[in-house]
This record gives sequence, C-alpha cells and structure tokens, in this order.
Amino acid sequence: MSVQYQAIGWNRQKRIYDSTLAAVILLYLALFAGLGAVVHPNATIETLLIRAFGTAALLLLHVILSIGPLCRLDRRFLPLLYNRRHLGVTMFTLALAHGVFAIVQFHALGDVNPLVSVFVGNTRYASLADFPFQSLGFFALLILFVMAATSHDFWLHNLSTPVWKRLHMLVYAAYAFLIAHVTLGALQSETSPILAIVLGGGRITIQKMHVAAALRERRIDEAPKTAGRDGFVEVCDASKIPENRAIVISLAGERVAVFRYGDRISAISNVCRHQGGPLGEGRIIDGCVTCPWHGYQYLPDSGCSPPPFTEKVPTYRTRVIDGKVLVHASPLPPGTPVEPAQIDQVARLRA
Amino acid sequence: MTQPLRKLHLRVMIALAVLLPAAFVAGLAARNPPAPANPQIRWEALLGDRP
Repeated sequence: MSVQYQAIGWNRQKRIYDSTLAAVILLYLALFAGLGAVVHPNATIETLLIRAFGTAALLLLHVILSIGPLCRLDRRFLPLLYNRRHLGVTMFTLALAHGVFAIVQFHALGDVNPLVSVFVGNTRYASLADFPFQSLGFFALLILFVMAATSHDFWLHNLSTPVWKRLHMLVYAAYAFLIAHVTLGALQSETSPILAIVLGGGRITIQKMHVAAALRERRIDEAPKTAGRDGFVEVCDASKIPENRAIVISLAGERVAVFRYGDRISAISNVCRHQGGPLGEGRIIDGCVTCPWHGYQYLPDSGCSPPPFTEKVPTYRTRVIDGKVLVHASPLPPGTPVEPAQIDQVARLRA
Repeated sequence: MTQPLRKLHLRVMIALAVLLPAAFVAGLAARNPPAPANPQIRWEALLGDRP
C-alpha cells in the first residue's frame, strides 16, 4: 500500500520471497544442466540451457496458476500470493531466455530474419506431428510480455481493476499455447513418457484445484438470503463471527464482509479496491480491515483507507437484534460512515 | 463487482477443460514412430574427439 508509485515497494517479506525464488531457480537450472550433461553427454550446453529455461518457466507457470485456487482452499498459502507478480515477471524472464536461446540456436544462421524464420522456416501448419510449434511458443511469450509489462500498480490503477484483471486472465491463453507448444514440440521426439506424464498431470492438477475452489465459492453465492420488509437480511448469530474477523455473505450477487470487533459489528464490500481481494478473509489489524492479499486497509465503520490513503469501499447498515446480526441489502456509496451495531445493545433491549 | 470476472473465469475454465485434453491427446496420437536404430552407424566414430 503506497500513496505514490515506486518501481518496487521493497520490504522484508518481498526480499525473503525474491531471494528464495532466485535461489530455487538457480539451483534448478544448475541441477538440470548438470544432470543433463551427465545423462546426455552428447547434448550441447545450448540445448541443455534451452531445455532448462523452458522447463523452469513451465513449472513456474504451473505454480503461479495453482496459487489462486490454493489460497481459496487454504489460508496458509496466502503468503505465496503476496508477491505473485514477481513470480510472473520471473517466469516471463525464464521463458524469454528459452525463446532467445532457441531462436539463436535454430533460426539465426540462415538468410531469413530469425523472427520471420520462426513462422516460415517450417510451413507444415496442416500437420500435427510436424507442426511449427515454435510459433505457438512465440504467441505465449507475447502474452506473457504484455502481462509482465503491465504487472505494476501504475497499470492496475490506470487500466482499472476489472480491465487489468481481464487482461491478466490472458495467462490461460498463454498456458494453452504452451501446452500445445510442448505437446507438438518436445513431446514429438521424446521417447521417455516422463515429460508427457508430468505435463498431463500438471494440467489435470491445476484444473482440479480451480474446480474445487470454484465449488467452494459457489456455496457462498448460493446460500439464500432474503431481505425483510425493512430491507435488512438476517446473517447469523453475532457469536458465530470470530473476534476481529468476518463472515462473508452474498447479497444481490455482491459479496459482503461482516466484521465483529469487540462488541461492534460493521459490514463493508468484500472486494478490495486494489486487486479485488477478499476483504472478509482478512483480519482487523490496528483497527483496520486488512486485505489478506496485499495488506490494503480500510476502516470498518466507513470503508475508507486511513489517511493518507484514499481508497474507499461501499459500506452496509447493520443491526443486532436478539443476538442476530442483520445487514441491509443495499450498499451505501463507497466511504459512507455507518454507526457500527452494538452487540450488547441486545441485552439493553431485553432489559 | 467480481461477479462478471468470476463468470468469465468459469467460461475460460470450461473452454480449457475441453481444449487442453483434446490438444494433448491429439498431439500424442499424431507422433511419428521413432526411427529404428541403425546398427550400421557407429556414433563413437562420428563424434571424433568429443567425450
């Protein structure tokens, strides 16, 4: 969370995250090239590097695509999500190294522009077995470049969150291009079944995780909530909401996070202004609702970020009657202050 | 606010669930059989000084 743009808002967690990432990738590249040289002594270092960079990028893409659903299914994975954009840019860099090495190795020594050669060096586009698979990798790399180039908060704010999210959903198109690239490329000449098993298994695992996360989300949206005559919807017993945490409900298709802090109840939109993160899965820290994705904060009774920040989310009117929490179905404009409902007012009413 | 994105995500997932297995299986099925080993070729001789 920052009031001005910085290239990278470094902090201790990001340094640990990136150092670990760099160490794991360097170790992988060294092991791949080293073991590859032992197992395939006739392979050139260029070939080993092309494969090392390519497999590292593909593995990292699988990790990146797994983080979203994993965080929906288990909060312990949330630290991985915090810096996912650095993973994406790193994956693009690895893919770029793979592409550049491959183009230099296989397309740079002719009399045709190497980039043109990727598309015209082999024109058997009608054949699956001999398909010019490099072109598929090129399109995937193009998408990854657009995503890496727009991964900064500058683009997130200027494109708006929905547009930025849609743009970054192109990662699935890049993934499809890469699966086709490997299937019609490396797998065509690979005699060992290991690569096919790993690639097929990875795809199935990712799709299963997304389905599991989607089913979990659907349960929230499908839980019936009907408003009374006064427009208020009964949510749950106040005691069911953990201290400084929230429960998430769906009202007229929109997610609402209902927080309890001390003897007060407040409700705000569940959607963080930053990247649409689930505020209701965060906690109240230092008196502020804190998004579990990147730490954006909002005051629970006004939906406003504390000064000097300017983000605002819609608020909802709340009541507590006979220990039951009620939330009005209509949102108030972002940043509208709402008096929190008092839990102990029940006792007063009963008295 | 996130409903349209979730719907788009669902459609993308359904498309991938159809396309990716089809592409994967078709690609594997189209593989050319590996060339049989030629006993007449002695790779050690072709490699020269390389280890």
